[in-house]
Amino acid sequence: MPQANLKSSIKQSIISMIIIGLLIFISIALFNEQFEFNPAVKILASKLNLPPTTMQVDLLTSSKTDLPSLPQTNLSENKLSSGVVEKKLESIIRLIQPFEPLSAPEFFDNATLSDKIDGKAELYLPAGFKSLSCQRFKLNTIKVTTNSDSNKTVDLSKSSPQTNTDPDLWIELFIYDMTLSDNSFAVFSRQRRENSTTTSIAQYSYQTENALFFVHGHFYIEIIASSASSDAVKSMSDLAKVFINDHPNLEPKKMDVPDLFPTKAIDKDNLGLNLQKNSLNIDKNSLILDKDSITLITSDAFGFEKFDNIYTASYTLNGISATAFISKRASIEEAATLAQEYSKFLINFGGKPVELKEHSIGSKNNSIDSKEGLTNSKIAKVFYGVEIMDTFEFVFSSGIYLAGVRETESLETANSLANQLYAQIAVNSKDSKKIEGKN
Amino acid sequence: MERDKIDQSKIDQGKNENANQTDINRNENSNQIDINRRQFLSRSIRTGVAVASVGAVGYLFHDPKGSSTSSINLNVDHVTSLKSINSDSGKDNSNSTQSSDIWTIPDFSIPEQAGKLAIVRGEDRTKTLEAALKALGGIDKFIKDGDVVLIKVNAAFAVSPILSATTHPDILSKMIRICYNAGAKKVKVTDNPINDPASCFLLTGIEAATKQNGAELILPRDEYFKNLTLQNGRLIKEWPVLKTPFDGVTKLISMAPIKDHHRSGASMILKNGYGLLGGRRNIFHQDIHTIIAELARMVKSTLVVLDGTNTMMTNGPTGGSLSDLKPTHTLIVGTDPVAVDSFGSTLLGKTHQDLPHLIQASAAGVGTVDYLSLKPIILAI
Repeated sequence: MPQANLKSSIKQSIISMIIIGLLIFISIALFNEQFEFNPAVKILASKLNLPPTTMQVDLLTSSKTDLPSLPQTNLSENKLSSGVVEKKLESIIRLIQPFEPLSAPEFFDNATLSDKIDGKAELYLPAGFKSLSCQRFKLNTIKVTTNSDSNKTVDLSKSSPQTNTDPDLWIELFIYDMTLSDNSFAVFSRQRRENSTTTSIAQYSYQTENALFFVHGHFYIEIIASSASSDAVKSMSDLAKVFINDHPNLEPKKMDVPDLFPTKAIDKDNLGLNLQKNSLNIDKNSLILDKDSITLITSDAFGFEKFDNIYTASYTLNGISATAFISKRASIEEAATLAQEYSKFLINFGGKPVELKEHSIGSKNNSIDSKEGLTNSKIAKVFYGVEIMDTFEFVFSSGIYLAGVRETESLETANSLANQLYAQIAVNSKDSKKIEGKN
Repeated sequence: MERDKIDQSKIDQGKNENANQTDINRNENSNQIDINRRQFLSRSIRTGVAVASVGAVGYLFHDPKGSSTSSINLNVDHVTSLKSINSDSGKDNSNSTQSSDIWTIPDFSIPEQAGKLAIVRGEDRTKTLEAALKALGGIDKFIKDGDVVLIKVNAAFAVSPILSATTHPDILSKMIRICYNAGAKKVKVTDNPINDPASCFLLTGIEAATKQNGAELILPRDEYFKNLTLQNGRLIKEWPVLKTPFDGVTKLISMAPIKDHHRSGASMILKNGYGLLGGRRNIFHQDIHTIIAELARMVKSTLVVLDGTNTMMTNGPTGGSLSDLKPTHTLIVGTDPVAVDSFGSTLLGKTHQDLPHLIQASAAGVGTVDYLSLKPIILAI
């Protein structure tokens, strides 16, 4: 009997040892994993086309075009004089002199974006936001010892285009992945600052005293400096160029709809449209478009939840301001339906239908129940005018385009601008056959 | 006979051995383990101890917070809607392991100083602060010898002070010195920022301003929060609120800049109370005006200082560009936070009508939106 027990217990013991060994192995693996870099960072790094390992900066030996020839820093671990190894911070962008990380990278998604930008997150979330990567950088002056005179140190920064006279200057880089270039343009345009300067760094970019904002494909980038200085401006520009160069082949946003905003008054004689001359007869120089004001609203435009992907632009016509809007819809019927629903929306909020001038677009049929704008053409499907809160709003559909004018105190201005807008769509639209009623 | 006995015993022994062999054979064939009770218990206990040890080690490794970029108050149950908060009586089963003993933030207001308001125009916020306090009768109307003063700043974002997104370090420095000159025994500075607290206090200059003037900077820590329920509150129910900085405090000063806010329309004194909330407080964005109004009832300051020297007119609350700012050169100091904010809204090109939380707070008796009724002292320096 003892012999039989010994056999069984050996078998049991072996199995037990295997199980315990497995548990110990799992424990060790967990222990190691706890001290590993956050794997989510690696995933995001791969999405940003950064080196897939632990985001150690992979320095290039050759500079890309347009970048200044700055010496590069070896970001391997530095051994301090005390013998202690100082571990450098990783970076979300390829670093060139004199940049070095001031803080660790941060990453945010839909659930955590408000942890970084608080209430402003609501500008991004409905606009196709995917992720935010951000990090702060500082700039340093580099000193080297020359070979000719070992006792003399040379400030390398003086020999390079980049100088840093503000030791407290730091810069924060925000990289918003908005999924699509339309979305990145939308958030860019919605936050455009007045009194800013357009730059050539990207197709859509502007800068202020201490900040640079631009669109690069589906990325919206903000670079914000801690102070306003020439150093800050130069640094932000250099950082932007690094990002752009490292993310090639991102198609610039093609905006065909904004091309439909008229930049000068159109003479109706050139259109062959059977409209009274006066309806388009305005001084060519009186129509002024603020190109920097072109904005894309991705959702809930003008408080109307069905208005999405609406482009707006600010105009001045004979000194009176107005806002024009255009949106390309999926079908003629959708454009017409939306125009009608928007006019009803305005009426429900206290608007009153406007009596349109004779021979203005839609003048013969300005009832909200009418679906035919012109009697002599099927170009404008519907056309509505509403007076609301002491301003005038016109909305119409022209083929697959929904368009209109709003926020103007002058009926004359609203009417003239609407006519110009309609004419421009008729001239430039690629779907001219549809517009001509050949649906 | 003895031989017979011996033989019999041998026979019996043999029988036993045979029997045992039979048993062995039987046991081997049936694969049964033949152990006694003691052995069974011993093995069971040892196995149990091993399992428990592994479980304990696993528990030590357990990270309830998980991976996150925010280091504060994230070990909470994820609440996805205000409805679920209300249906659960607003319980936030968060990091707070504190008991739900009832506590309230003390009322630090001074009844004799109710309804005081000074509006001072000037470019230098330290000088406008001096002038405003002087107009209100001097700091000694508010701070007495031996007071422990808590200054609730807005250090929400880790940004440069030039962006006016946070309390400016210059005005904080000045206020700390004024408090000490008035005889304050101790001055503390605190906030629960939206970004990483250490970065926020450092990069905004608030940390330096605090320490250089001998005040104590209190960074928020999980254990500093305790669940609070606001009486008749709809949203602040069993919600973690920053408590420890209030320990021993006798006076409270709220200091905030004037900012546009994408959600609430403005971020000023009343919104400054948001920095006392813990947990996943962004859930309250869904009912932003109500939460601000409740914060107004929750926090009764001795004095409030609203800095409109450079007002963030657009792209709030973070701003980012100096072009978002307008040099409105105005400082508002008073004891009625609703009135102070009501005037502050005018610097944003708005009125209290544009800010429902002001109307709600006024209706709740916190203050008045009719700042003119307080006969404010208006100066220019």
